[in-house]
Amino acid sequence: MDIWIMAEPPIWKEQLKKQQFDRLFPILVDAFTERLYWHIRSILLRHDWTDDVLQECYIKTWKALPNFRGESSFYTWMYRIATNEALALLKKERRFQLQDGPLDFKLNADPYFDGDAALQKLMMQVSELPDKQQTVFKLKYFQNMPFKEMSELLDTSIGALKASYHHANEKIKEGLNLKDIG
Amino acid sequence: MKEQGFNIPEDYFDSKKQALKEIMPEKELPTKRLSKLYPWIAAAAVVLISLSIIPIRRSTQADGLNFSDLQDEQIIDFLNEDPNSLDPALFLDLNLQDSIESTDELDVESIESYLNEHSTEYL
Repeated sequence: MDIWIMAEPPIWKEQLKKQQFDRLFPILVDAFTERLYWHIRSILLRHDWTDDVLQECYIKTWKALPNFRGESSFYTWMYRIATNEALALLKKERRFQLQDGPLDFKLNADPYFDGDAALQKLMMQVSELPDKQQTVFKLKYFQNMPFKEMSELLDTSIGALKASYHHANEKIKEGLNLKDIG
Repeated sequence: MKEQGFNIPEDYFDSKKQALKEIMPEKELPTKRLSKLYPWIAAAAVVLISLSIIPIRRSTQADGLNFSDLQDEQIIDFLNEDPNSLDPALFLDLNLQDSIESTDELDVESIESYLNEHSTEYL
């Protein structure tokens, strides 16, 4: 089954309707923590940043549960919260590092990253892209996320996302002197 | 992603899930209880506003504008501003009908003597 269109048990929406948030929340934690973690990590790359954003994402989810109408799936709703939180952290870090240019992810300082030199080089190139292109590229490269799902998460048209991905791909290939990115 | 060199601490997800579940008692849901009260608060507000508006409307409809409500000074000031705009007979009790009838009974001599006596008033 495609992970992007996983059906959710109808009881979740029933519990939401009955405002049984205390029962529903732990179920969501068990169901989505791993997936949300890797989703956030694919954007932020660093474990410590990802850990902070995951925590913040669940706090927001808990607070917002009473106002969630259940029009979308829980998965889409929580992924959107996680994506927004991750992008907000990128902005905050950029301000903190006082620079307009590429954000330094300092992957060398992350004890939970032991990627090879090629990946580090690729990530350096990716970090030079604008935030939007960077996010689209990472979601595609690390998660192979379909553009349709990405469109819902980032609230952007599929055409614009494809264009962003194309530009990102071209810039990275140029930067790395590659013909194609695997 | 993990295969590409992105790792996590040992037992990270087990401990993280436990920690995340503890968010619930720490973070109360203030909107949850309030949101249940919103329809009742709104209904009470509508009733209170309606009750306060109805007596005001009744009193304004019943109390039409009467000259007896006006002070003499207000009437005088108004007429002084534009004495030709309104017929003074509307305000003053002149009993015009009586005065018109009484002029028929006056002879020319009486009129002349009256005008002679009061001629200085119109200069």
